[in-house]
Amino acid sequence: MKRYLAKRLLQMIPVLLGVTLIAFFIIHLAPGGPMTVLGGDAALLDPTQVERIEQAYGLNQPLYVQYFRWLSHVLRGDFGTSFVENRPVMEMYLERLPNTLYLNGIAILLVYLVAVPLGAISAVKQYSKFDYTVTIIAFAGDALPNFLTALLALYLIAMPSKGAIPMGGIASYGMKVEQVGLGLFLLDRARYLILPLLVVMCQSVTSVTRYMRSSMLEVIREDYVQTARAKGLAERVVIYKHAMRNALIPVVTLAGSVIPALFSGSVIIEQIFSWPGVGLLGYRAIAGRDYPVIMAFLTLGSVVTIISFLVVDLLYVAIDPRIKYD
Amino acid sequence: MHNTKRTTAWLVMLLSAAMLLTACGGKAQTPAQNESPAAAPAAAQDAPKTPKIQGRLTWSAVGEPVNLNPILQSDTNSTFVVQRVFSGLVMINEKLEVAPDIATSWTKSDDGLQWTFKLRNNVKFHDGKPMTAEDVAFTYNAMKDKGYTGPRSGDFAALEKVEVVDPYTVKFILKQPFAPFLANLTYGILPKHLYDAKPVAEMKDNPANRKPVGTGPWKLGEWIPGQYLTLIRHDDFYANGPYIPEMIVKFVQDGNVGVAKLEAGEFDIGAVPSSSIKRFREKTSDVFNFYPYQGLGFEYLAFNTTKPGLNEKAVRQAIAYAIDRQKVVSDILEGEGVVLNAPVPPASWAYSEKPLRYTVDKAKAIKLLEDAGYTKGADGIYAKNGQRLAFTITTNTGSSVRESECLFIQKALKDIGIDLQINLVELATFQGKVLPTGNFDMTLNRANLNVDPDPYTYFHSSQAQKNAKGTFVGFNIAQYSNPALDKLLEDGRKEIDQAKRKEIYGQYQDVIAEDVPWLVMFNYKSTYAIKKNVKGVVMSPIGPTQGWLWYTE
Repeated sequence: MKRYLAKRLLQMIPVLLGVTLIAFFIIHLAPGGPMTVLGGDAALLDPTQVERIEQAYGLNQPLYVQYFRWLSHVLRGDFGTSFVENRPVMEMYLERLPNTLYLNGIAILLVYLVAVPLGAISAVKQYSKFDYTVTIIAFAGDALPNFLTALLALYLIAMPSKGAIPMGGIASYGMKVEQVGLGLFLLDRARYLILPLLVVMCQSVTSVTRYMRSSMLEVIREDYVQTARAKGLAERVVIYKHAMRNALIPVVTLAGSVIPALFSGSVIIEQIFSWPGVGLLGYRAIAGRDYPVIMAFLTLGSVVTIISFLVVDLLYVAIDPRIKYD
Repeated sequence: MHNTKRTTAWLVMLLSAAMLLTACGGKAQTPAQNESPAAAPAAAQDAPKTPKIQGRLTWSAVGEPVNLNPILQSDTNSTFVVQRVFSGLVMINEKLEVAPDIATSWTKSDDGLQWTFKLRNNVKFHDGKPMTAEDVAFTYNAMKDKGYTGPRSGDFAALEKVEVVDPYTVKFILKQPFAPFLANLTYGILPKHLYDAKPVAEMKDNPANRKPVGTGPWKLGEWIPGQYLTLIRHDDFYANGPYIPEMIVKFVQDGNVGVAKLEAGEFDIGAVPSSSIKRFREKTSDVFNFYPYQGLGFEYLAFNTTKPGLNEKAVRQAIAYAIDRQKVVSDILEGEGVVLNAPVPPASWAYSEKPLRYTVDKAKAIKLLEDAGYTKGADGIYAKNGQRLAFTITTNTGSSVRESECLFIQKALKDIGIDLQINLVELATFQGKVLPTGNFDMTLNRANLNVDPDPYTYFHSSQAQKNAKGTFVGFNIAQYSNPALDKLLEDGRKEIDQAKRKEIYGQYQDVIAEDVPWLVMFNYKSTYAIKKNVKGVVMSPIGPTQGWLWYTE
């Protein structure tokens, strides 16, 4: 097990190097550049001015030199300074990370709390009215792109609510714990959380439900479930103790793709609801060709992704005794 | 937990709308024109002697400011805040004239090379320190510094240096007479004492860029990234006012959501896009006053005048006669625009009514082509010496107006036997690779004329030359070359007498309309919605201005 872990950790190094290398070259190859933001109407700049800006930001050096300089800084924990805002990238990232963790953390927790039982019941009562209802809603929810759900939520819920449910943002102006007290503060926060949460869940609940349902369907046909029934165990024990625990294994795999989203945010949701999270930071950096911020966004995203897949693989050992890494 | 593949396309569509809004800001000021709506003009007369200092005004910004240093920033949102936190030497008033701000008066030498400004002696920075000629000289000399990294040095290429005469007198010395110079002196004055410890090359890293200290009517309160910033009354402001003690700028990330929030009353003021103005007016006229304006922004169709076919004036004119621009305005813009003959909108003092006006006349268009030696081929397309009139129009995605215009023009040209293909590219590619290289046959784009109407960079032949990287040194994207026009544009920059300049620019407009390197499609119209309790509003053709005179009831 230790050897396996060491091997996996070592494998991360070339993967991360590859990811950052490819990302670095691709974003520098994309048309446009930070010049458009730094220099306003780039075409109207005089050439000496362009050279001066390129020199100040180190953009006049060969790409590979820029990459290795970036890499050596990152290895020392320094993601550099944003071209656009001229302040440390980590500072910008960390001031937004709590907002993304806050929304996605609650969302993921709720998604699993709702989706797992829904999927399980749906499978146990296959072809019942309940099953059909859940399946139809699940398909619909999955088919609706979340930008559409978001806009529908704005027009059908927020606008008629006359301000009770805000259209975007994360808190009301002037709502600070020390001024209004914890109760009002949390209530205000909750109002702003409703719509983004609803939209995130609308999409995610459906996919997890369908995973859970099909996994459960497979398991309850297994011999050992039949055996458990034959032993005369109560149906509840059969389902919840024997079947459901095994059916959860594939659902755990999903966590591998869910955890990175916790850290990288959801660009669409953050955009539409003006949620000051990490995804929006990444998107704005890409639009403005703010290379250091883009690289930090991609690198941290890759690190979290790779680590979460490792965590998922390790979780298997804990929940499935058949799996062992040597 | 989102599905990346599926969302990407929509992401681009939704967000490019927001980007377009920002990008169109161009020179950072929104166009506006005071069309004297019922509520606006009365302000000056009705205003009580001294309005009460009360209320709060909530603004919205699509996106977020990035840098609040007046000489380093260039984006729309930063400009908005900077204009309220800083004062300049001069300002542009509601009639688009240069008016005193920190400077009370100025004189120029007869050769136009020396400009001397007298400053107010009661101007204080937000930290209490007095503002003097030293600060003015520091600000402008920084833009002339070798290490300067901002976008403004082009504006001051003609400036030699700035000298302090005495604490309240400052002298600008020019290399050659340069008429647009005065209108460029609006940049906010930096506090020298916060910036002079380090070289100008390191100015970009100064923490004061995010905690600005200016002399303007408001000072920055707090700035919560991704959420909002507040502006608090500067009690030592040199003039009366401001009467609104607190302003909030809330950041929204999507233009459409911003409009919905305005409609819901979450903001007190905002621009309403032409596509939703009718519905917006109907639903909210009891809450908002509307201030329509016709600013300095216009849409144009540029021709690559080096392309065979398009290098002939007759072909360009034929295209101008084929396109029913009035119909474009009424059908695609829903009337929120005005057809324009030349690249100078009526809001500018240089506007001329004389230039040739192309009204749709397809027979005339076809006759122009036939007189130029073109004959119709079997495929219905005109050709000369085997050269078919087949072109591609390249423009950016993300604007439904622009996409509809392309289809409209395609159809119009087909009627007169010209084949047109449409090529839509992503905005950054369009701005970064297509426009600066001239890699197109025709293109649709937007321009914002500056307060000073100098069009040198758009049409002087030197501005079509390319640098080592293969991009134009200026913005003559039509690659238009006309020695007579070059002379006019050079004279226009040197002439300091505005009446004579107006005459020169009148001739310039005649030349562009006759020769059509650009066919100007229309002048954008727009509307600001402002809550009814906000009074004393001053609007100029480049947007809301002089906020310290506004008050609330």
